[in-house]
Amino acid sequence: MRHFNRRSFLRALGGLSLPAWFPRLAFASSAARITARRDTLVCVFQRGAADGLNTVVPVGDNAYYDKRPTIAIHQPAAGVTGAAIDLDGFFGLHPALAPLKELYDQKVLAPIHAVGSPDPSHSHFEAQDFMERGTPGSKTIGTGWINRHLASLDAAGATNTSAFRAVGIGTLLQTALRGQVPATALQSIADFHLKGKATSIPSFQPTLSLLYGDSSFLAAHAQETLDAITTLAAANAGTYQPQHGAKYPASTFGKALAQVAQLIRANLGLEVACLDIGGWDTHFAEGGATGAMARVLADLAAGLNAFYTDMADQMSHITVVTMSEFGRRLLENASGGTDHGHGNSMFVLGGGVNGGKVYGTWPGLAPAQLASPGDLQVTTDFRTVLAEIVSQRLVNPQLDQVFPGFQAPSFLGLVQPAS
Amino acid sequence: MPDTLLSRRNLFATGAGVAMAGALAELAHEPLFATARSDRPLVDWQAAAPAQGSGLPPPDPIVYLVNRITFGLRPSDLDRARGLGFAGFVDEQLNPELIDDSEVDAVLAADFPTLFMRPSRLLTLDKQVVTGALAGATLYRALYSRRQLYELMVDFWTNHFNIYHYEKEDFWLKTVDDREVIRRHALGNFGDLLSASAASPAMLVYLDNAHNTKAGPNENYAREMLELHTLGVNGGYTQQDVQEVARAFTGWTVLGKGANAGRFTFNPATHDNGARNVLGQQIPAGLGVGHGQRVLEITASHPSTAVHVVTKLCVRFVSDTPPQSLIDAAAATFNGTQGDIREVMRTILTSDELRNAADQKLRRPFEVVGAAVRALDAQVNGDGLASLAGALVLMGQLPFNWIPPNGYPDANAAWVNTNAMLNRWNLGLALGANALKGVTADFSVGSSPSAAHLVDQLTARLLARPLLPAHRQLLVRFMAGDLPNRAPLPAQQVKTNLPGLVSLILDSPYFQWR
Repeated sequence: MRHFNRRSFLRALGGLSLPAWFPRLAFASSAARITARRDTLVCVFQRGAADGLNTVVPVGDNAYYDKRPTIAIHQPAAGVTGAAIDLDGFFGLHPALAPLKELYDQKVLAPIHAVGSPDPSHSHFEAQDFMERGTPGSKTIGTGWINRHLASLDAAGATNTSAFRAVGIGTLLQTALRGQVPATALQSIADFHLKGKATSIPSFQPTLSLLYGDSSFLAAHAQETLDAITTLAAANAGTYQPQHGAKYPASTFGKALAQVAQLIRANLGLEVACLDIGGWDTHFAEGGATGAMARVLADLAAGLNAFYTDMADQMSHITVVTMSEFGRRLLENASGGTDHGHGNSMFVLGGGVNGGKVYGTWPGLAPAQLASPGDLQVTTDFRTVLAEIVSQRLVNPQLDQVFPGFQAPSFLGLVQPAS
Repeated sequence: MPDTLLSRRNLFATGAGVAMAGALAELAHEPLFATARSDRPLVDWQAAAPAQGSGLPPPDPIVYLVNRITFGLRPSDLDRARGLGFAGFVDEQLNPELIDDSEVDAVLAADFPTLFMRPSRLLTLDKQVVTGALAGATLYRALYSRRQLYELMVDFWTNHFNIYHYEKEDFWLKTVDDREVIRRHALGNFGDLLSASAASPAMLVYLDNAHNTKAGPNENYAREMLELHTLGVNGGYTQQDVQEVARAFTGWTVLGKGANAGRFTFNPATHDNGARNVLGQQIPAGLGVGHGQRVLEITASHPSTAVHVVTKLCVRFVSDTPPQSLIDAAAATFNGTQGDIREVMRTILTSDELRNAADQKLRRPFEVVGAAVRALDAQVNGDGLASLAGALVLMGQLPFNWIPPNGYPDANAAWVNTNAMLNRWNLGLALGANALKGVTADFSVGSSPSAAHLVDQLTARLLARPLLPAHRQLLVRFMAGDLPNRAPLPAQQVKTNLPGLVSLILDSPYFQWR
């Protein structure tokens, strides 16, 4: 297959007038020269409501053990298989998260607990939507918080027009990335090109481009796609070799992280990437130290550890944040699982993170301390965490644009200001 | 046990089911089928990015209307619709039982025997054979059944009552749900459909109600039933209602053993037989299985359910933002007929609002595949079904492969992004070159045609709608190269450029609209 090149494109254009988007396409490669000091943000969404209580385990809270007779994680104890890994005496990591403990000890990983959305919705779809828009309880703003972050940078004079400035890994674009700034959905870097004999006809791609060269709903998407194809072909991003002996898990999540790493290494102007990890909706047979949720946690931890190892030389300019739409009920149900809850845990990872400590205010798990109908309370709004990252690591002070109507009480001190 | 020793050999002796199973087994190494799942959300896509229309010259109304209520035009559909008029065509399609579909039925009976098996027998079979046959048959019916509107309704309810195919016992039980819930009631009564779904073993397994017991109720089914199947997320239920509904359905489970393995059963021992209060209505103690049945009656006839269900139907068939007048009319029919789906569809399909909604709905990937094969009048064998299933995996819409319970999103904005455009284009490139294994289209043309003639002939066949003159000229230039528009083309030039022309037409914005 032959990639589109500009000369054949210009030849094929002949006497036709240039469409409005043309300069952007022609100069897309200039994006590679952008050297922003702001971090690249990698946003991981745990779809399905992850059980934060079995992720960052409150081993010092007796109510946890009272309400979870079969799925609780043991208190840390030497020589006990499946016990929690001690963090600070009160919290422990699920044993499947051992690869994250290394990062915690290196002080580049910060767990936050009792964090989440102030909206009480127990619907996956509504709560994910609220969280990705960054507007809990409100459906009046249709754009995602990450897209608004980029749009506010543009309004303040940012000039990154790379097709790979904002990337969502997967077949559908994440809601957080939706909005006026173009964002690219990508399944596979290696496969991101037009295929087939007809593409060797020099006028094929220019003709296709001109068929979409108007102002209709599809035109912008088509031009972004052609732009991305062209940019990737020029970058010659072939097979990817992780650095520093990093081994990504063979899972969807591991592959997605490797794609993000590859995009960063290709120096294509990536500013934000969104990826998903599913399998958290554990109503049935959640398991404890082993079982269904332990397997997904192991995938999460192995993936993040591999990413950190791979990108070690660049982590001072990368921040990773994990989130999930809500947590799960304290009381386990009779089918060895947990139903939809409220407060949850998050992780922030990166060279600029003040790690090695659990953040947040623990509200307790006694009956009077729970949110209805028996859930961990939210004492830290998820936007407080994200706002600190946006402000300190993404060097964007326009928080009123990113999280309209939200006033962060004060930052938790999760990260250092970007240098 | 002679009857459990399967016709696995028969399946392997026949074509389609087997090729599907093989192909899907290969796909099993791909992420979509791995244990790590990627639950994508339904969002309010409409609010995110309203479609602005196609900006293209509109199609002939009957072309548009027939496209909208089929998986895409075949030339024979258009002839039939022109003969009957659109109203007559709708009427015919609303009575699928009167449409002779014996050719398709014969293929299904011969090549997809698992579709007709009882659950205890299915459970003895290789899961890849069973899932492959259902996905393959679904694709085959979309491509070739003459009951096109019925197949679209099956697709609609499959998503409304979504069940992920590739976990737990649903590898096998979804086949029964497809046959005895979705297909049985697709144009029937909504309350019957809801009740059948509530007692469907595949649903009981998927949303964990099979494990919902009085000792510690499992809320999963109760919540999704209220939020997705009936009232809608803003339909007026509370967390308390979720918990009450969950208790009402305790004991609704699935038999694990014996001749009725995989069938519904009610277990009084695990049922909470107390009185319930659901959506403000009292349900007395002691009703046993009647508690759940009473909940189904209350929710099926709740005013929010009518609005929620008909709005989704209007979004599916008319526009991402359907006019309130149409929602009101369809809801009135729903309420006036106690949920007669056929009559609700008649209201929607004979409305002025539908007539005025050309180029409002993009084809989703399943409809892209269906429309392309149908427009090309391509022959598809078992390998071909597998090839098309592979394309659908890439494009993210293989039937029954959506993990969370809300079904594939139905909004233009959900299905358009860089990745989606690339995959649509690559599908068109493969089909134009006859490069998809098992999918064959005939592009033979007369001797020495001109570029203009070829473009007009192929766009009429594949799009059946007018082109902007500038777009027509682009395609003619692609074909003609340096020759004049109407000059006879050398055979070699036709051979080299024709696949590209077909691909450009399938890849064009015209083909993306339903």
